[in-house]
Amino acid sequence: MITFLGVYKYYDSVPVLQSVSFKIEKGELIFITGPSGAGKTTLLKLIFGSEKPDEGEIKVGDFELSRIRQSEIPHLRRIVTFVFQDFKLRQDLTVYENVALPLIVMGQKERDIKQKVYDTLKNVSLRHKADTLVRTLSGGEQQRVAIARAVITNPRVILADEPTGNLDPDTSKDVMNLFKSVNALGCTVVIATHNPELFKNTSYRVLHLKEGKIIQ
Amino acid sequence: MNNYLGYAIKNLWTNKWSTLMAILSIAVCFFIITLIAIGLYNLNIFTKKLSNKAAMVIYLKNGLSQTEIAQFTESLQQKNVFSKIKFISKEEALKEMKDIIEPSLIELIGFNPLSDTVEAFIKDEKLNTLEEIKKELKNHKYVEDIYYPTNIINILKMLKITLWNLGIVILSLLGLSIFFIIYATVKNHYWKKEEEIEILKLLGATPSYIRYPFLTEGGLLGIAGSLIAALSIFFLYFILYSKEMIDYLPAISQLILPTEVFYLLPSAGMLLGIISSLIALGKIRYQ
Repeated sequence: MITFLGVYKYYDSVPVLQSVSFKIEKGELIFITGPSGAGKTTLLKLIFGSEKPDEGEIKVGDFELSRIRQSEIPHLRRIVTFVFQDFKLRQDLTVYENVALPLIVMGQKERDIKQKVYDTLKNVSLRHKADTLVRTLSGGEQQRVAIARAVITNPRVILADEPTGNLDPDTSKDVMNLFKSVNALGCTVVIATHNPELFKNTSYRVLHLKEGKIIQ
Repeated sequence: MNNYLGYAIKNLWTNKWSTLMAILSIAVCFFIITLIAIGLYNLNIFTKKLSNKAAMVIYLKNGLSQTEIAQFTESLQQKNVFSKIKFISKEEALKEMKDIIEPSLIELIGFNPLSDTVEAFIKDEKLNTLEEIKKELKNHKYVEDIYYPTNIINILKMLKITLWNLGIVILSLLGLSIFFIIYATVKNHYWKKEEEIEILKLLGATPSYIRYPFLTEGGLLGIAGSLIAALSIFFLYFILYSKEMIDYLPAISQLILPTEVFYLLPSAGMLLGIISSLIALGKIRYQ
């Protein structure tokens, strides 16, 4: 599903990723871990098409990201979605409106959108908050809205950057369970985190990054 | 499309004061543009009419027979240069003169001093060959002299060219002003929604999905401004054509208002609005 081959990325001539090569299989849940500044976010951005590698090859599905054109990026983002640490939700909209947004962007009919949104909100236990403004929600609830928005289009890959970074342990556990249930449906999930609690005692693969290199 | 229109109207309403300012500025620019365009249009008609009314007077030599005169007028007609040719005999000319000058004064001379003449009206499209026509006719064996109000026509031509050039410069500047008003307004509205647009880009919105509401906004600004201008022109036309105004300034009744203004203006407004917004948005880049 995702292949990195000898990827280098520099910011102002400073290497952020160096000779990174790995493969993520379809339907896998994988953790990318490492200290701050190790290159975890850059790696996710490369998969999302926000950044281009300076050297090497990146393949996500049928997309060759080292040669991707700007006009192809929206299509990539319909199969690869992102859950941001700061959620990137529209604070002026309701939970329902935020979750419906990707489907509106894709041009789906309002009737279909309604059914899908309510089903997805039910899965993240937010059905009762559908008409609530996002800005009035707690951090954990906002994260669940962000996950609902990321899964509603049935993407092939979900990327999550420190999804539990701002959450208490109990809420973090709930959020992780959500990712696991999405992964159980066949979706590839890539989670960048520096919190070892998330992958301790799990059978999921973990990629350790340090100073831009995969060390384990 | 309905979504884009609704979104654009909502966005214009959210920024109602900047929208109102933009629409009024566009309306003023379009109003002046239309006035200048109507002025130039009427100037064109006026100079054309005047050129058509100015006849070339060809004085014939004395003693030409009726056959020779007929031959001459026939040859003029064949040239396909004149729209109208009229022969005035010296007797007719004298009769006309007596209507202007005291007949007793003419009788004092004791003979008819006037010549047979041909009044030839040059076709508008042949006015540029005027000098050649004059030269050719002057060398004709039956022609004594030629008179044509060259100076007046030249002054009119110069005036027309100068006013046209000035008009085009002003029109271009005003057109550019409308462009910048719409450009700045749409760009400003775009910047205000930058965060929202960034989220849309992250969710896979295509460039056209992002652009359409702003292009619609630009189009709406252009249409609204030009419609206000068109309505103002319409009211101005009614005021100018009122009985009181025509009694006071009869020349006004000669003014022509081309009705095309009422559909050309909104179309131009919409087109200019869309083009300005398209340029204001530039290339949509994904990060």
